[in-house]
Amino acid sequence: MGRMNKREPKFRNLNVIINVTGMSPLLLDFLPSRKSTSNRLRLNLSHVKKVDSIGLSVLLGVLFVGKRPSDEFVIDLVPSKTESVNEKLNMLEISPLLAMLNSRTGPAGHSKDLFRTEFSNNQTGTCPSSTPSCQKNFEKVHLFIPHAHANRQEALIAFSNQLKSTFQLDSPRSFNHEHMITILIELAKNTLDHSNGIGILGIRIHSGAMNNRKIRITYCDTGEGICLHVRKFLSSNNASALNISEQRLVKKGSAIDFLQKAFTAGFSSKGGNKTNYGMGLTLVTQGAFGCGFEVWLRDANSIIDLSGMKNSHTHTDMREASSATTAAKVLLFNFEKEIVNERQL
Amino acid sequence: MKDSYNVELHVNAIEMGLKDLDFPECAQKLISHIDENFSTSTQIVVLDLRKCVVIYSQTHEILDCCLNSFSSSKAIRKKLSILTTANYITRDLTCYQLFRTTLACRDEANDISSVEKVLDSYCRKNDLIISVDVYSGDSENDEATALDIFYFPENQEQ
Repeated sequence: MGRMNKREPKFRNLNVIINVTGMSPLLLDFLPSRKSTSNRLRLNLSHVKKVDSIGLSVLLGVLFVGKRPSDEFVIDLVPSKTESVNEKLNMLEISPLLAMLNSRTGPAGHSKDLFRTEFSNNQTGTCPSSTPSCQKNFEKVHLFIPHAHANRQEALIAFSNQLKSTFQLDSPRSFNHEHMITILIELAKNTLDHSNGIGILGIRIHSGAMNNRKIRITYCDTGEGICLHVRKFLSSNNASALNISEQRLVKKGSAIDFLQKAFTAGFSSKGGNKTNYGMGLTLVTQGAFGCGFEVWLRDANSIIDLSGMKNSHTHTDMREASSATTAAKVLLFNFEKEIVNERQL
Repeated sequence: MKDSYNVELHVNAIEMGLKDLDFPECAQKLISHIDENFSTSTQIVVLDLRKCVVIYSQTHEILDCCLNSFSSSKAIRKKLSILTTANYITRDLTCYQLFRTTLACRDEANDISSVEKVLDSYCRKNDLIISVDVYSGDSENDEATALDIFYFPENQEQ
């Protein structure tokens, strides 16, 4: 009987590096080659020796970048040979995360189980309450999957609730929870309005050692990214509707040109009611500075440290703060802040 | 509008258990509370939104309620004092984020460069001073002094 069935394509092996912490997974390139374009993916974690929530969020971002909600994937996970890594991945709820990525609504009620995992799902993802240091050393990964919800409002409320629930673990508080929620919701709105992708958020709070007390939050958007989106938007406009500078941008613009355009007050690729748009990215960065976070952005072929741009996002500022990179092309915002001791306040 | 001799109305969202002001139902409860307690004598409204999650689409409903109440009040030297932990650093961005869709600005301004001027003008016309006191929100300590205070119209510290 088996011989009668059409032979399934082979799994495409995606070997993950030893260190899946911080930005390290940006070194990976999972884009399909000409020889191997299968949608059956084997994520080989066997060599992984270190993992954290930031690394996992970036890894998922790199894995899903450019993949549309309508694409069908089978993901096979090969566990790490290091048991502590598997425990950590369980704690970070890798299986439920992948299952959530399968929670899309298929055409005409069509539904298919796209993910198979070898990880058990018997942990909650938060540290056990018996761990004394748990409340100030915690990590979490959240997904923002617009198409998994009935409408925009429900998607944003679900994301907001996830953030509120996680930030409650930071007690006593070490950063401005409410303002960061507003900022992250703004990024989620960008995913809804400008990207066909999903949002992947990683948060890590570490306050164990006195000299390394840090909050880190990353938000990956697996859509086409800011630069490409702005370029497409301008290109789609009638040439006569563009000013000379924009016409030049469409033809010869660099990544910095497009990013600077995206940060220009009043510019938006979204049609609307003429009252609420054109300031989203400025509000994100200035709001994060207001909370004391350093911010950098990775998009197209650039990494830009936005932290020095407290008042403006001029072309010169952005050019000076950017570095060219060949790292994986996932749109990523990174927020970092030292935790200040209550007594120092 | 009820009769009362209280000149100041102090509204603290957190004390009312209304942290999630990004949810319409929470914002509506706050609005109802302001409506019910704004009196003919009210000159000053202190709106304490510190440590609340606020987004513009709900904020403008809350602020519109205050502005509407003041506009129908015959009190003089009216003042709306907003306490917030939403820190956008500059006066123009803070003004834009809070007021761009309120009745004070929405018909006349839609970009960051014009919202401040329109709000200043609205305040002068309505004998109203608005102050936005920005707090850190970084710690559990609510006694900290404001990081910044922005006034509308400008230079109204006295």
